[in-house]
Parts: sequence; structure tokens; C-alpha cells
Amino acid sequence: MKTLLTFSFIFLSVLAFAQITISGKVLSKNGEPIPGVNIYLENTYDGASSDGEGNFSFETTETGEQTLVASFIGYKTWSQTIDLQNDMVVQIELQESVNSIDAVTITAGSFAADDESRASVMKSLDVYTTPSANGDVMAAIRTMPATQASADDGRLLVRGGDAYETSTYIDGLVATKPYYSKTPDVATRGRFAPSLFSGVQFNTGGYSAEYGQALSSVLVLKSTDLPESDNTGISLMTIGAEANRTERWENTSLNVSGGYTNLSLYDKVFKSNVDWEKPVESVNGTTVFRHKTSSSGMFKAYVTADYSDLAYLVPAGNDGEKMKISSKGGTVYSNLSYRDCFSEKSCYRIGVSSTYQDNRLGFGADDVNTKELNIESRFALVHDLSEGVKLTWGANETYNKYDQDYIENEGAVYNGSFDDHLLGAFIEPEIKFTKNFGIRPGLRTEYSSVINKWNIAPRFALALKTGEKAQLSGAWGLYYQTPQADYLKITTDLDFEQAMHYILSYQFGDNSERLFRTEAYYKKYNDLITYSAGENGLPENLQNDGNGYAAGLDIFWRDQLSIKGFDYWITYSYIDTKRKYQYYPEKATPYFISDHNFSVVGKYWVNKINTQFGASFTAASGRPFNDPNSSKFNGERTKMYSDLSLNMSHVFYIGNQYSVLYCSVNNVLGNNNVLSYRPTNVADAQGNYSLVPVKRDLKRFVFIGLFLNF
Amino acid sequence: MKTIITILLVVLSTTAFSSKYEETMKTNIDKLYQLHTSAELQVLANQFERIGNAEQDKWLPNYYAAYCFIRSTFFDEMDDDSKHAQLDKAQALVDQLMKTNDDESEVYALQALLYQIRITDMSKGAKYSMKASDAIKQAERLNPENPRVYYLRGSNTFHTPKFFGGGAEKAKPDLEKAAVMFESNQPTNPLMPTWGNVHNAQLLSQCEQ
Repeated sequence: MKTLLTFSFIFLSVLAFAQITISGKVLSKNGEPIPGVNIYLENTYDGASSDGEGNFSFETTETGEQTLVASFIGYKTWSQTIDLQNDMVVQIELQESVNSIDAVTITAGSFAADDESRASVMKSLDVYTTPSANGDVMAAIRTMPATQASADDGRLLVRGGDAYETSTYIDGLVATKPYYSKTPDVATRGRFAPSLFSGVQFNTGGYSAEYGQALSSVLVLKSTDLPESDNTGISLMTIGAEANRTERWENTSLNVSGGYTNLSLYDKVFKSNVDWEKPVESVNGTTVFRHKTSSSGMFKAYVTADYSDLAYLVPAGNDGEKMKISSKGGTVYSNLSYRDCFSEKSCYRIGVSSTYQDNRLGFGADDVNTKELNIESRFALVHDLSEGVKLTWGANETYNKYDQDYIENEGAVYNGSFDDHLLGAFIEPEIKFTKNFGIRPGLRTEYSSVINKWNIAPRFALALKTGEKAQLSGAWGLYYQTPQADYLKITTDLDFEQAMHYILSYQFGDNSERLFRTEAYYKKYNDLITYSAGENGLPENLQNDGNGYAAGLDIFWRDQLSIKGFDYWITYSYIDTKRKYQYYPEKATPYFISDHNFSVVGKYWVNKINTQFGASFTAASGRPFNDPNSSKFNGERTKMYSDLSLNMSHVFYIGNQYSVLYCSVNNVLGNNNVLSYRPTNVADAQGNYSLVPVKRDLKRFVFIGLFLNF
Repeated sequence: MKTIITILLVVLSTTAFSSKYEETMKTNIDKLYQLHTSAELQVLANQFERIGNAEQDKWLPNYYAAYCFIRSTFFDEMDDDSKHAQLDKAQALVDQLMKTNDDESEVYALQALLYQIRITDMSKGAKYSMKASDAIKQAERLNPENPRVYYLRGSNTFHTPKFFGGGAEKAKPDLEKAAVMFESNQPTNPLMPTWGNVHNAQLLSQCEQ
């Protein structure tokens, strides 16, 4: 027995002292040493980390067949079965993982305002703190390159495209009425409150096959997830009031808010350029529900409804005659979405959005009553197929119902209505060949029942990292859009309008420090709708007969590093564009285009007084307008436009919650230039048309708001 | 007799094994608080990871590996990109822990710390302080007696600009609560986490200035 025990002890101690040394070097594919790699024998404590030269060495008491593993983030894990008998030297070569955090991202044509995306150039908070924006998402995005200043329009006009060429999506689902109703001569603004969104991705061209029905641009808004805590907010503003209440449970939240806007005070205090009969008055209510179903599942519901009423007079004829324009209407938008994952490698998104709008416009003695319904159902799946290969595919069905009565003073009624089912499907792999080079080919197809036409839209994007923080990207694609309701209500014998994009983009730096970005593009339009004016003022002879081009250069620079607490960005866009569409007799630059657009936004936080100061300056060269008395169409140019806006936000406390006193002044310098000229419809006795100048509605806009939180 | 010996041997070797785990962990944990360079802490993180690989049913090795990677960013004036690279390593480990030990308050506390360290510049502030705050809430729900909950919440508030409802004044009550708890709630298991006390005291003294 004693022998056995002794034997056991000897055996144990022998085991303990039979040390084998494993040493070697860890190198990358191109022979550079990799420090910090964890090299070890699987299922043992034995191992080491590689040093600055990639060398490692450790001792082990294990023997026989073992698995040697080398792992390091950003690299594929290396492993090899070894037979441990004697000391050994191992040379390990690690291959870079294409999924590493600093891998290439496809960015051509995409400006993201997101806290997460690396392609991000703006933060969601910027929407609030940009002086010229006054809390409007769309206005904040107009400080990005590729857009027109368009102070008399308020909508996004991207790279030569008309307002209808930009589509807006919320959580992947279309929002067909992202703006309040646009009436002539008066700028509109975005319908959705910026507080709802955690990220904005502004695609100025070359965008993914996931999106269709937009010739120029896609704006993708990503809504916030669960809010942090319970909150009650009350906002008192010189233009109205808002109140909201948020309840947060563990995995669920509910937010209810309502607002009232009335601009009549402004009309009395400030001399408006618009002759208001009924200054804008509107009410709105919003409910947001969030429920987290699991660590990856999230259900979101968002419903907003608003009603607004306005009326004003515009010059109609040559003798100072006035015409009344009025707009009254309600809109309900709802967006339900759910996202989750089947497994770690495949996730899905499904959702339904709907817009209903009932709008009554008055043009002088004529009334235009329009009812529109849009319902979109959509799903998309994302699969991680293998390392560096991701596949996204999905489909959507979009139903559009349009019904309009044009009621003339004399009582004649013209009805225009149509129904459309739009079916769309897309597939888009994203392949990263190496950490520095990736491509994204895509294919989208659509069928529109109202015109009974199919389209096939191929897309292609690629990106190449040229340095640690530098990247070159390119994109090409074909984009289709069903003709606008204004035309379909007259005839459905039309085809898709078409645009082809070519984009080359170069980016250097990092958004949190300094970022420089420039993009050159060329866009070719085909099959744009053309028409001639009929006797009753309605278009006739509608055809897909138009075409055009837009070419330009966009530059963006943002610097948050050089001066502490100071953040600024500068954008410049140059564009050369001409098109023949609508009633244009020949190819011409549209009235909403300024060849040069420049803007600079700066913000400075003063800690001592808890206040942030901001300034933004926008300048745009003159825009074309048509003088009917001249022989050249759209041959005249307005004067240059400029705007300097200032703001200030002061933070203070009520109890534990912070509140903000906000004040902004738009157009501080009082520049009151004519933005464009609108010809009157009627010629005078000599056969001459007079031109009605269009200016910004308020020469100076002063906004004061008190945002209280409890 | 033979059976008894065999049983004895088995018992001996298993206790030897389990004490090997505890011993190694204890040695490395003690070492952890003595190290003041990021290179050494990364080496130690790898060591903890190896233990974690061998002891699949234990969560503390990976927890400490993640903590070492996070802690390695405190030293040597690391640039932001390298910091995030270390934090990515830590996050990969925390992700694993979230799957296997989502009922452990300390895992969420560590996640909160990781998010806080992610705030290397203003632009990341809003996002990560919100995420940290969510993780702190979970940590508190799972164990309201965890002093790190109040230390992390206080630190979150301390570093949030006044503009968004932060500042030293707002942070003080939580930091004070944490200080008391660090004293009173000392873990009985020597392997359980103890970090936070020193920085909590530093923040408190800054509040007093």
C-alpha cells in the first residue's frame, strides 16, 4: 500500500515538474508583429501574450495532443493541433478579420446624422441646436451639402431635383407627407418632431436598393428606442405651446404629446411680407409606444395627427388685384414596426405605415378638395452569410388612393382619382473582400398597377480605404419614380420617370474630431413628365418626354477639435443643371436652383453661464426666373440670397430636471431680397405680364421658447 | 483500502483543482489592482481569458478579463482609437457574459462602466451616458445593495454636462451613498469585484471643492 501511495506522489510530482516550453512569434499576413495576442493551450490556464515584437513564450505541464490557440480582436482566431513532447517553436500568422471595427463602410452619397454610424457627419442633437433650423429636421439638413437654400420652399431640394424627388422614411417605412401642406409663396416645414429620432441618414444619391420611388434623394429617420425615464414637459413658445408626458416601465414606454400653434401674434408684431387673412393655426397630437420584447426584439408604434388652417392674399393681376389662397386640412400618420432576430446571424424588420390626408385648398374662387390614402407594408431580412458577406433582401406593397375634386367658381366639378398598388422587391449583398475594400451590388424591381409598368433598377456601390482615416467611395444606380398624383389624376397612360446617378466621394478624418468630405456627381434624367397648359388651366398632352442632367461638387468640413467647446461646420455646393420637364418649352435651369450654395454653422458652449451660443450663415447665388416678356425661358436671375441666424440656449433646473430657455433670431441682418418672381397669369392690355416678387414671409423671425421638464 | 485511496486521491486532486482556480484567480485579482500600465493589464486580461476558456462554467474570469481591458485604457495616455480597440475586446467578453449570466448585477455594472469609458469625446456623450444609465438600472434591479450601482450613477451624472441635467451637485447624493455602501457591503467571497471605491472617493472630493 505504502508503495502505491509513494508511487502516486512521485507520479504527481513528476507531472508537476515536466515542463515544456512553447515559444514563437505572431505576425500579420504582411509580416508585421502583432502585440497583445493571447496564445494558449485550449482548456488549460497555460499561455502567454505576445510582446511588442510579436514574441511569446510559456511553459506547460501538459503533454500529448493539445490544441494551441491564438486569438486577437480584429483577426480570425488561429488554432492548430500539436503533439507536445519537447519544447517547441511556433510561427503564427494571423489573418485580419474583415468584420473588424475599423473596416471600410460604404458612404458614397450618404450623410448620416447618427450617433452610431461611422459614416455620420451630424449628431441628432444638432437638429435642435442649429440656429437656422428652429427645431425643424428638414431645415437642419439643409445645412448639409447637396441641398438648396430654398427659403421660400422649406422642403429638401437635392442635387437639382424637385421637392417630390426626395422620399422620407421612418424606421424603414415610407412617410408620404413629411411636410405640412405647401401653398404658393409660403415656406413649409417638416411635420415630425426631432425629439422622436435618434438618427437621420440623408442619402443624396447612389442609395441602397432597399429604397425606390425617389429620383434624387432618400431621407431615412430612425426613431428612438426606450426613453430613459418618466418625464413631463411643457413648452411655451411665442408661436404656441406644447405638452408631453412620458412613462417608462421596465421594457415598455408610452409618450403622449399635444401642441397648439398660432402665428397671429407674429402677424401683429412683425410686419409680414405675406398678407395674412388667417395666420397659420394648427393643433397636433402624437402618441409613441415602445415595447422591448427581448434583448433583440423591439416593437414601436407611432401615431400623429394634426389639423391646420391658414389663408392669405397674393397679388393676382396687374392692377393690384388680390387673390385669396387658403388651406385647411387634417393628416393622420401611423407607423408600426417590429424588429427581431431569428438567430445571431439573421435578423428581420417588418412594419406597416399609413398616411391619410384630407386637404381643402382655395385658389381665389376655386376650391380643390383632395383626399389621399397611403398604406405601406414592408419587410426586410439581413443575413450574415459568412465573414464579411451580408445579404439584405425584402419586399414592400404600397397602396395609394387619390381622390380630388376641383370645383370651379361657376360650379363645374372636375374629378381626378386613381388607385395604385406598388409592389417592390430588392436583394442586396454587401461583400467585404478585405478590411479595406468592399462592394455593395443591389437589384430592385417594382411594379406599379396604375401605369401597369415594371422597372428593374440595378445599383452598385464600392468603398476603398486609402488610409487609416481616409476613404474613397463610388456609387452608380438607376432610380425610378411613379409619376406624381397631379398627372396620374389626368391620365394613367404614363411610364416611370428615371434618373441615373454617378457618384465619386472622398472622405478624410473622423467626425468626432475633424472631417473633410467631398463628392462629385453626375445625374442624368430621362422620361420626365412634360405637358402643355390646357384651356381650363389643367395640364394636357402629358408624356414622358422630358430629360435633363445635374452635375456638381459638394464639400463638407467639420471641426470639433481645434477650439475646445467650439464646434463648426462649413458646406459648399456647386451645381450645373438643366432639364426639360413640366411645361418647359426647352431645357432650362429650374427656378429653385442656385448654382452656388454656401453655409456655415458654429456653436460655442459657455460652461460658466450654462449657455450655448450658435450662429449660422447661409448664402446662395441668384436663382433663375422667367420673364414672360423675354424671349429666353428662365433667362433672368434674382439677386443673391443670404441669411444670418443666431441662437442661444440657457439651461437651468427645476428640482432634478433641467429646463431650457431658448431664443433665436433668423435673418439678423434683415436682408429682404426677392427670392424668386412668379408671373401673374393674366397679361395686361399691352400683352405684357407683370412679375410678382416672392420674399421670405417674415423679414426677421424672433423665436423665444421656454422648455420645462418635471 | 484501495477504494479509499482512490477516493482520497480523487478528492485531493479535485480540491487541488478547485483551489488552483481560486488561488490563480485570487493572485491575479490582487495583481490587477497593483498594475499601472496598459500593456501589463492587457497581458493580465489575456491570462483571465485563458482561465475563462478552461473554466467554462465560471463567469468571473471573463468578467475580470473585460475589466482588465477597460482598466488598461486608464493608463499611458492612450489615444482614442486604441482605447476603443481595448473596449471592443471588453465588449465582446461582456456580450458573452450577458448571455450566460444576465441575472448578475455586476455584469451590468461592468457594462455601464464600459459605456462610460466609451465617452472619449462630446459627440459620444448623449448616446453612451444613456446606455450606461440603462445598464445601471438593470444592475440596481438585480442587486440594489451593489455599491457600484450608485458609484456609476454618480459618475455618470458628474460627467454629464449641466446642459443635459448633470454636474457635481446632482452627482453628490449618489456618490455619498456609494461611499457608505463600499464600507458596509464588503463581499464575503474574496473573488467578487471590489472596484470603484477609489474613483468614487476622488469624485466626491471633487464635488466638495
